[in-house]
Amino acid sequence: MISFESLEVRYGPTIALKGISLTLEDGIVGLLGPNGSGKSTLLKTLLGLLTPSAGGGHVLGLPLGTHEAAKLRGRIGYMPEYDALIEDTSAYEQVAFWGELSGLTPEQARDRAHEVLYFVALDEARYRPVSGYSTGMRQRVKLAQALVHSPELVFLDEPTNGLDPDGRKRMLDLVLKVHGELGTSVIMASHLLEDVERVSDQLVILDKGEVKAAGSMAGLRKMLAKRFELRFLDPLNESQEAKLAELGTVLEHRNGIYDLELAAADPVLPFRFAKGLGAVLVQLTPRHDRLDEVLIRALRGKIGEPVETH
Amino acid sequence: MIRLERASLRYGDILGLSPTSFQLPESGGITGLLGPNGAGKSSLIQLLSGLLPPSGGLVSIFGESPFRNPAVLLRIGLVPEGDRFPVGLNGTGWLRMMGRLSGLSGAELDDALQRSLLAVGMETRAQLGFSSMSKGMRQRIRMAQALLHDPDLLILDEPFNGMDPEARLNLMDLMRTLAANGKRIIVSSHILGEVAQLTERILLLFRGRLLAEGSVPEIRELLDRHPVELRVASEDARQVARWAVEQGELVALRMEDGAAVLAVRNPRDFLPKLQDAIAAGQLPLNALDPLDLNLDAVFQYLTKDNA
Amino acid sequence: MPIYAPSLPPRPELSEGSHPIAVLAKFDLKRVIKRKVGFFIFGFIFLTILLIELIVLYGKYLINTSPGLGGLKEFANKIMTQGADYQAGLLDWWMLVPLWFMMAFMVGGIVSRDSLYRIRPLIYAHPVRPQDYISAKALSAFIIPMTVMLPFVLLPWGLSLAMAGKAGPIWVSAPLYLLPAAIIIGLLMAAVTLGASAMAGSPRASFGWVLGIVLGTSAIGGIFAGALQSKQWMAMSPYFLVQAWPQLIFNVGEPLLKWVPTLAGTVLHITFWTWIAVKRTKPSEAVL
Repeated sequence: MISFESLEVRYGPTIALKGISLTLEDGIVGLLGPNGSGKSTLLKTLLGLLTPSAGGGHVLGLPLGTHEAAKLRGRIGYMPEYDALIEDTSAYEQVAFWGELSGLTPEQARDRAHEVLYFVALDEARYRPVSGYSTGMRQRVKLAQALVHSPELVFLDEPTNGLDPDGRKRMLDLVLKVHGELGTSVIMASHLLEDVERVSDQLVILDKGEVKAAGSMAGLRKMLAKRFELRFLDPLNESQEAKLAELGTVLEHRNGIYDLELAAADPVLPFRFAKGLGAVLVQLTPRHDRLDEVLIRALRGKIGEPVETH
Repeated sequence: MIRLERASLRYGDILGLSPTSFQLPESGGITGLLGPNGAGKSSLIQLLSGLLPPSGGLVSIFGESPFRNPAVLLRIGLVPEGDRFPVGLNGTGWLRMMGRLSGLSGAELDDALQRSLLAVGMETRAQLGFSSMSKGMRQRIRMAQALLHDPDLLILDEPFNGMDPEARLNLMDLMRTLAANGKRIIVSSHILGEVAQLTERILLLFRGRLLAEGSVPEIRELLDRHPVELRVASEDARQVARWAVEQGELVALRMEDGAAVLAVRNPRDFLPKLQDAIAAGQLPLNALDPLDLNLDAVFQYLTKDNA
Repeated sequence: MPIYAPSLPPRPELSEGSHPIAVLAKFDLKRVIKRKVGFFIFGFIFLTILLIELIVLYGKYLINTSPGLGGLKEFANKIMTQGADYQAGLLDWWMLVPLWFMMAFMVGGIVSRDSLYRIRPLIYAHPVRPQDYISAKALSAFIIPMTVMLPFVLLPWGLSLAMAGKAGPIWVSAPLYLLPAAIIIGLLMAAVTLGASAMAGSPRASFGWVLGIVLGTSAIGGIFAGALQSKQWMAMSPYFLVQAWPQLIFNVGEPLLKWVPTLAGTVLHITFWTWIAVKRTKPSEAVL
């Protein structure tokens, strides 16, 4: 889907992307990075709005930095972070407009506008001006707008921003459907690790114009041998807790969940131990790297080293 | 002690919060304040921080009503929602101004400034102007402001909004440290995962009513209409399923790739049996995951049941 | 009997649609027309002016043709100018002033509404080049005054022909003079409005900007004209420029402004305001 070879992009004297090399497969890519890390430069380069000053790459098979890059814009959908809505116009009309602007005929645009609005579950409200919409509805109009021309790749910038738990769940389900049902690849920039964890199969961590980590989610979040998360049906009392050390090293205890390193990678051991302790295990999860650990490690530039979270 | 007794808040005819009663202990700890948009979170925060008097009932913090009560207000620190900041001021200048407003001056103010900046990890960067700070840094300065007068109760309204992940993690660490040092923290958020990372104790508001207060496992146990789903990952998930059916406790059974999902009504009866069987080596098992014993499920069940 | 899963149809061809300029202009014109208040005011002024125009026309025709009105005819010919003055008067201040208001009110938002709703970055994320964007906006800003002026050019002319033939009060060749004048007026108004709209942050602000530019330059032009004792300095103002053009093209006896200042003023205004609009709508200004 995307490959960059030492891609460098400058804004006047400042180098916004410092020679990044990156390959991404079709799928859902989570893009993490603090503000000012180069996310929007990357997006502008993808859309052919900025020309690389060195290096280059291919997006959807088209080379960057040539006049062909402009063609990409018809094949990419973009959902901005802020409210880029035409307030005085109905959802249906503006989605159809964006479709036409991407190169659909007026008839196609109107049909597809209705279809994508069904896809994002916006019913009768589609005929009313968007100024009266709730945050959740507005976000879904923005998503519909990005999908109306059936792009091969969509860039979603903070799609769950400002949504409450229900709205977030719906939006993330939609993001999964975008790839699952429409076959459109997704790049989702988000500040919420939870969201990225839930939908993405690949991850890119960007900081100060450099790629700090990239790859498949499974590859980045390694399974940690002999590490398990344990939770008991009732909180342990102090003497029981003290005995936990016999089972393994307690690395962390937070909100009733113990993060243990066992002597051997045998999931039966904790059950036997709990029985002897007079406690009941309700959870035993082999532990892999958490996304926050991956992120902190990547930002501190120590990929591959384990991170101790106090 | 934080205590509400049938405290309600109306804005004219508009309901902010229905009569609500609950108590929180005074000792250190974090309580998550949850609810969808418009659930009454801001109303509750306005009552707790003494910005408004209750329309009815009683709000008592440290034994007194907080509204226009300097003795109580001096023990409360509030970090309001949003990223507003005074243009043209730097962090220290603003903090000094706010410190003077809370009655600090001279060496006392300098000490307080140093202490609170140290607590938020901004001791070297507070000289920066607000506009050149990142969102995370500004949030820390606002936290420092709330900590200036060394309050016992900290109220944070959506503190994580718009922050990048690293700043979020740092702020969570800061809150955990403060709680461990004896501060009572009430934090509102609509990102359930963040609250779950911070604390088990929640206040859940919905449509202006308090739906639940307490620890997540306790609340989940009260929701006994919803069977508990246990995902048992195993090399032989069929054997696990067969064994579970024989126990006669299953409400539902679903097979997944390499796992059996068992829905049981009484986990207190079922789990010890499962544990015994595994410990005795009768069942092969790789992992045991309760799917809905978490904050997410509690939130979903409570709001859906009351919709 | 299959169960049809709700899903989107196959990916459509993207090359069959209209050019982005056409799409943008169509959407803007639709939006302008839908603003009911503006449309009502515009329609009211338009119809009133047209009515007066037709009454004058009919009166002239009667005076010219009816033998019973012979005495009146002589008198009328004295007070009602005929010939080039009258023809040029079809596009005079009484219709250009409402037209300025209409530009400020209805077209003023053409660029600033995009700024207000922050949709320009999203437009540039589509297959739209900066020159497409500005061309589309300029096209809409030009089409709107033209649709207002065209009936005033063609209707009196057509009626005059229908009622009185070649002897009518309006020249048979009038459109040959009126159309170029209308086009230049349209271009100048479009450029000023476009520039003003690009400077403003909202449609309301652009209303002020358009009127401010028109009145401001008139005031400055007036000061220069007074100080330097030459009426030609009024060419600094687009308000006088648009009035001068029909007079110059019809070659009336004493035009408001002479050819050279009018031409220079017009070219300068169109270039300057277009340049402003191009500068202010560059994609690099758009924060994605």
